[in-house]
Amino acid sequence: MDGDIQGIISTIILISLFLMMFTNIGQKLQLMFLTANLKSKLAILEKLLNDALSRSEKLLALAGSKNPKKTVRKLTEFFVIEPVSIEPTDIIRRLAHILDTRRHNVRRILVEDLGEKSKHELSNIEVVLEVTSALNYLYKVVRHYLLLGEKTSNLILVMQLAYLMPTILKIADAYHKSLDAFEKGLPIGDGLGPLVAYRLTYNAPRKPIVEETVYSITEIDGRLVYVVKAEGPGATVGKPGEAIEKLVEKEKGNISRIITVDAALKLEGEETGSIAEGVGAAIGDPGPEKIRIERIATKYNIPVDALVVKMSAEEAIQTMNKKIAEAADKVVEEIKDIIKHRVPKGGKVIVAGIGNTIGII
Amino acid sequence: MDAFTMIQLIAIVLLAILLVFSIFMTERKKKPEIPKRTITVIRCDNGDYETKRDFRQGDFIGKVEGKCPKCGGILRVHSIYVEEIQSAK
Repeated sequence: MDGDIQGIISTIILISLFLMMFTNIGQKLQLMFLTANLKSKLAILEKLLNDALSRSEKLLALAGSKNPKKTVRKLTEFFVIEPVSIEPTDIIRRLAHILDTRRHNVRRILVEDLGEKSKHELSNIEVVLEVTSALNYLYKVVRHYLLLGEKTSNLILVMQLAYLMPTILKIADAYHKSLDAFEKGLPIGDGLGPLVAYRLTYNAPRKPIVEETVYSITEIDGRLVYVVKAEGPGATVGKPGEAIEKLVEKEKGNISRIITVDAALKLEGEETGSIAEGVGAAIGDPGPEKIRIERIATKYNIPVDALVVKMSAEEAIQTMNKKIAEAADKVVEEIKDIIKHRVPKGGKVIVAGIGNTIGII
Repeated sequence: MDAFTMIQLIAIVLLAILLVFSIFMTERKKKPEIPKRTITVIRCDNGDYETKRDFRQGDFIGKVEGKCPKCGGILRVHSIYVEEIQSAK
């Protein structure tokens, strides 16, 4: 009897080993387990997307939308085609033009549906829809690769997706959590730059200079300071590059220094709220604004300083936390120090608080 | 049951335990999220008074919140941030 059991077990093990090594059953099993796991993760993504869609529709309905479902569908499926890059001539101007057209078209769709609203209210709704659109895109791309991998039994494709899934879910979760801030108009981590600009000028009058961008004038230790930021308290990043260019041209290049302040992505292990100083334009736009700062600074040989506050990608799009809020005061002190030591008395300096100004006037 | 059969059975049981353990490790529960609250800090322009309260819809940094009870200066929203709620130990 013992011999029988032993024989059966040995045979089963041998056959299993043979099948695993010399057929694709092992791969099929792996594919089956991975797709089952990915489907459960896709269900999480779908849940986040459905929640974002219903919150967007609710927000539009509250703002007086005639057909919130249609508007949400239209704006979450809205796409932008990047300019031709194999012919780089004029690419920045073409990109800026496409981005402007996108912004104006999205705004027009919203105004058509909601009627005239304050630009701050429209900006907040626009960003909520952008977040929903990002979640929609993530969901659709993951679903596409999962179905494609299943259809073609492509284990490598499914495996890559499975390994990327924790990161994708983390990004989706961060986007989903950011909805709370944009719905309520709360300052986000990326608002560090505008917060520093606010703390430099407080109640000084905000003068419009270019679309959704303002500047204020203040004096620090006998130096004239132009402080540029996006126009708050709506969710916008404005056009700080164009504003700086205009101010420098207005002053005929008589600017001693340009200081840019922005939030920067920290590396794993770095502390949130830590400050770093460097040179160059600290701005994370697709290109048109950054290049304006670089070009105008080069034209008049103006040194460009950069101050950044480190934070994670999740912290940058979620409600500002205490560490980041406290870092703003330290950055203000650093700016004052730079101005005192590197700008001559009577000189003029531009400080640009780069980032989304939601919840900050 | 001889020693060889015993070893085979032990190996199978160990493999099953390993499989269950690996599934459990990948599906392990997330850490519970720490509850947070959003704070609005209101400060006098003259810097002699500061108060904190829970965030209210419509608050934004720079919003005028009335007059300072100490010096009569303007009170403004100075900061809005989230902080973790410390659990009572």
